[in-house]
Amino acid sequence: MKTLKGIAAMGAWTSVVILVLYLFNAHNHYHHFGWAVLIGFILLVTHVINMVLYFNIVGKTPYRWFK
Amino acid sequence: MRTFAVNARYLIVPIMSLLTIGGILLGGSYTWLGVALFGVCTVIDIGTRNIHRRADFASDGTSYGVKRFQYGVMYMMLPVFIALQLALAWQIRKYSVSASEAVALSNLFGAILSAALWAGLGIIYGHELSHNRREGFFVSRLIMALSGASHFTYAHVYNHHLDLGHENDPATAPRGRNVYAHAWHSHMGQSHYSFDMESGKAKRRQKSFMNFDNRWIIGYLFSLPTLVLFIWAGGLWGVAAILIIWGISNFLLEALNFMGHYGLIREEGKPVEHRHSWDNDNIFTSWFFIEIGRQCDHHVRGETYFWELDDVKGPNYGVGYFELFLYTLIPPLFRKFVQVHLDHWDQNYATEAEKKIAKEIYLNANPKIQSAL
Repeated sequence: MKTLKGIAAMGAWTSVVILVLYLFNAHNHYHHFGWAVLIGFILLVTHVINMVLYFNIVGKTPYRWFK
Repeated sequence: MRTFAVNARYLIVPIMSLLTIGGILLGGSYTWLGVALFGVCTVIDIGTRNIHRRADFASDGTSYGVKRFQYGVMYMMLPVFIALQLALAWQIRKYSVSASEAVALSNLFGAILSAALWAGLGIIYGHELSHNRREGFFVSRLIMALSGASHFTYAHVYNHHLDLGHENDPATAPRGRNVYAHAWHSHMGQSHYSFDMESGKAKRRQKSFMNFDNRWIIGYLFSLPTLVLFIWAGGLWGVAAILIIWGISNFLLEALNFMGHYGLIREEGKPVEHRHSWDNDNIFTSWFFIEIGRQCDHHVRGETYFWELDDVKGPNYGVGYFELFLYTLIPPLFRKFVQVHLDHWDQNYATEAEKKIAKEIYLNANPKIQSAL
C-alpha cells in the first residue's frame, strides 16, 4: 500500500512539472540547445525529488521480507 | 592460440553492440537488428544449455586471460554505449524534424527497442568495473549513468555484496516475489541505500545534504547529458525513448539480480558462501555475460577477474540466462521451474537456521507459494 502511495506521489509531482513545462511552451522550444539543457535539468531534478518523495513515504517497508 | 581464443570469446557483446549501432544508423528495417540479435542469442543459449566448461588455466595454474586487453575492452564499452545513444538520437531527430517521411514509426520503435536491449545487456560491464577500486569504478559509474542508474555502483559493492541473501539487500528477491515487482523494489532499494549512505555522511560531516561531495546526486547528474541529448533530438519523442531505454535496461539489470539470488537465504552476520547464489554457467551465457553467471564464485571472491571465475559446485539452475529470463517473464512458469531447485537447496545446502527462515518466508508469503511447505 505504501508503495502505491509513493508511486502516486511521484505521479502527482511529475504531472505538476509537466504542466508547468507545457505552460511555458517547452514542447515548442526543445530544438534550441539552451532550452534542451534547461528542460533536461528540470526533468532530472524532478526525478531526484521523486526518489526522495518515494523514500520518505515508503521508508524501508517494501524491502522487508516479513510483515 | 589458446590465449587468443580465451580472450576473444568474451567479445560477443561488443561485436553485437556495434552491429546494433550499425543497424540503427542504416535505418529502415535494419533498426530491428538489435532485437533480432537478442532473439538469436536466446536460441543459441537454449541450444547450448547442456554445455558447461570450467575456467581455462594453463598447466602451471596461470590464467589465459589478458588483463590489459579485457580492461581495454570494458573501458571501450563506454564510448560504444555513448555511440549507441547518439545513433538512436540521430534517428529520433530525423523523425521529429521530418515526421514519417524519413523514418517510419515502426522502424523508429525498432531502433528504440534495439538500443534499450543492448544498453541493458551492456550493464554487465558497469557491474564488472564496479569491482575495480581505481578508475574502473568511475567508468562503471559513467556506464550506469547512461541508464540512469549510477547509484548501482555503490549499492552493488557496499550493499548487495555485504548483505546478500538477507532482507537488508534489496537486490536479493525473497521467495514468492515476481521479477516485475523485484525490478521496482530492487532499483528503488539500491538507490535508497545510496541516498542513506550520503545522508549519513553529510550528517557526520555536519554538512547540508546538498553538497558537491554527494555521490548520490552527482550520480544522477552524470545522466544529464543523456537526457539533454534525447530532449534536443526529439522533445516528447526523445523523452519517451529515454523512458523506454532506462526502463528496459534497468529491468534487465534487475532481472539478472533476480535470477542470481532468487529465494536464497543467509542468516544475518554469517559469511557469504557459495550456496548463497545461483550459478548460470552454460557456455553461451558464460561467454556472452563475461562470466557474470558464475555468481557463487563471484560473491565469495568479489575482486577476482571474471575470466578466472570458476564452477565451485554451488547451486545451479542448469540453464543459461536467456532461457531463464524467458521463464521469469511468466511468473507462474518461473515459480514452477524454480521450486524444484529451491527444494533441492533447502535439503542439500541450507543450514538449519536458513531452513527456519525459509519456513517463515513461506508462511508470510503469497498463498501461491505456500503449497511449497
